[in-house]
Amino acid sequence: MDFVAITSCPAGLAHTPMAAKALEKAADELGLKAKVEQQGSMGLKNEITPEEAQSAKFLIIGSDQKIEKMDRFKGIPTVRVDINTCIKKPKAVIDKVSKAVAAREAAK
Amino acid sequence: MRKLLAEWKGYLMSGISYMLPVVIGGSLVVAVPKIIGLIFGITDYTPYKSGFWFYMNEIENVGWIGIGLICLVLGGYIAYAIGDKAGLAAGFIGGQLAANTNMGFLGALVAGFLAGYTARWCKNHIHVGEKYESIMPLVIVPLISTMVVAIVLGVLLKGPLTWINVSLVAWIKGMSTSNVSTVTLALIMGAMIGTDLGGPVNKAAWMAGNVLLAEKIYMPAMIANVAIAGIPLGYAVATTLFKNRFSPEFLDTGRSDWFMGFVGITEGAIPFTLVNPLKLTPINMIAGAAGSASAVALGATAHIPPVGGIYGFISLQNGWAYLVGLAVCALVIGILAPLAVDFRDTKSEDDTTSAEEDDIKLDFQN
Repeated sequence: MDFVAITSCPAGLAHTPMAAKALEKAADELGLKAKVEQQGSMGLKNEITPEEAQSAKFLIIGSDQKIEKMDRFKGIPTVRVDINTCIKKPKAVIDKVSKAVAAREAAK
Repeated sequence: MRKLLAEWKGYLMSGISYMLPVVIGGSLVVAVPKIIGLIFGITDYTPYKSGFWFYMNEIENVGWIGIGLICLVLGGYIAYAIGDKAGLAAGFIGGQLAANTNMGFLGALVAGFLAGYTARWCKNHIHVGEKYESIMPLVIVPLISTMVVAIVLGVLLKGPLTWINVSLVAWIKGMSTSNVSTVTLALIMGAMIGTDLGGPVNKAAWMAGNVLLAEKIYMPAMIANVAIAGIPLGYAVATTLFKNRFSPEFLDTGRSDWFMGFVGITEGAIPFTLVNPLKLTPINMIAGAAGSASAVALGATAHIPPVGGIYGFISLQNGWAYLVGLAVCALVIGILAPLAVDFRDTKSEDDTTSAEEDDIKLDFQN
């Protein structure tokens, strides 16, 4: 798994699936293996398992909301990004996050 | 500082997102028996002590219980957003304290933040031996966080918060009962909803409307609902009236916008607006303002928390005026948008991996 992502918006109706689809499509086009979970109004959709979470290089949270079950991602670099940016420029988001994570790992 | 404000906004939004289904469930269960009664010309169920109308009254009362939970749920889930499960208990208690006193939604907000931060602080700063770990969630966190809420909110802040809340509510109530200022309010809020379709300005108007529900002030939420449902409906109408101005993909999006408008999701208008935000944003704003203002001017009012979407009219007095407002909003967009912008061949937005990466703000959590 190259990365995992979670999207969530206040109503959990429109932005959540829009951002999730945008990220999935972008990951596909970039040739990355990714799983995007939606935390919408009806609970968790496409839930990331703890194993998948731990195998990921990083986690993108497209939300300013409370995210459920964060304990799955212990030790995984986690980055919050504005959900609208995920919809508009998913590729740029993924690219920038992966570079930032790599830079941080290198600095350690 | 800006980061802190953004965090607070996130907590508040989380609280509201948990509160909304409670409000909607409660309001609809109040509205349905009321409507059935009105069809038969009954406006008051209290004289009925048995039979069908008595049961209708019982059902309506259950709905009111839901509406009465607004402060409790808001306070509890703001606390939950901040301090996880540990924050819930004190948040609920503080929220209910606010509901029982005159501190209202302000009290519920303070309760939520207070309970949440206290619970978070306890988790991070109080350490007991591993053997006694279980007393943390069972005794220490609930005791400390609830006690902090009791002392700070129940004693220290009770006077000032009650005063602020009562004055604030009186001021807004004054504004939402005089005709001139409600129409002005509708113009402003309608335009705000149309500004960024789910962005910060839109959500500010939306939050104001929702938070005031806890104060039994229903007008602002109703005003917001007109523009919220009307704007996506506008694009649905546009794709129906001017089929030849849209690409097949947009005709498809337009069809799903009927649904978006029906349930009241402004975000449905985003794909269209992105084609030419410079021209379409003003049109959205004008449409939102015109729709909300005409609903209010024609006398739509809410006596129970209003429900969004087209079917929201059943929760209102003069529901027809609400529907007229929706139609005005939808027609302004439905006609102006296709005239102003050609939706036939649109380049998808520039999304290469190197495009303006500096615009993207990252926020490391660990």
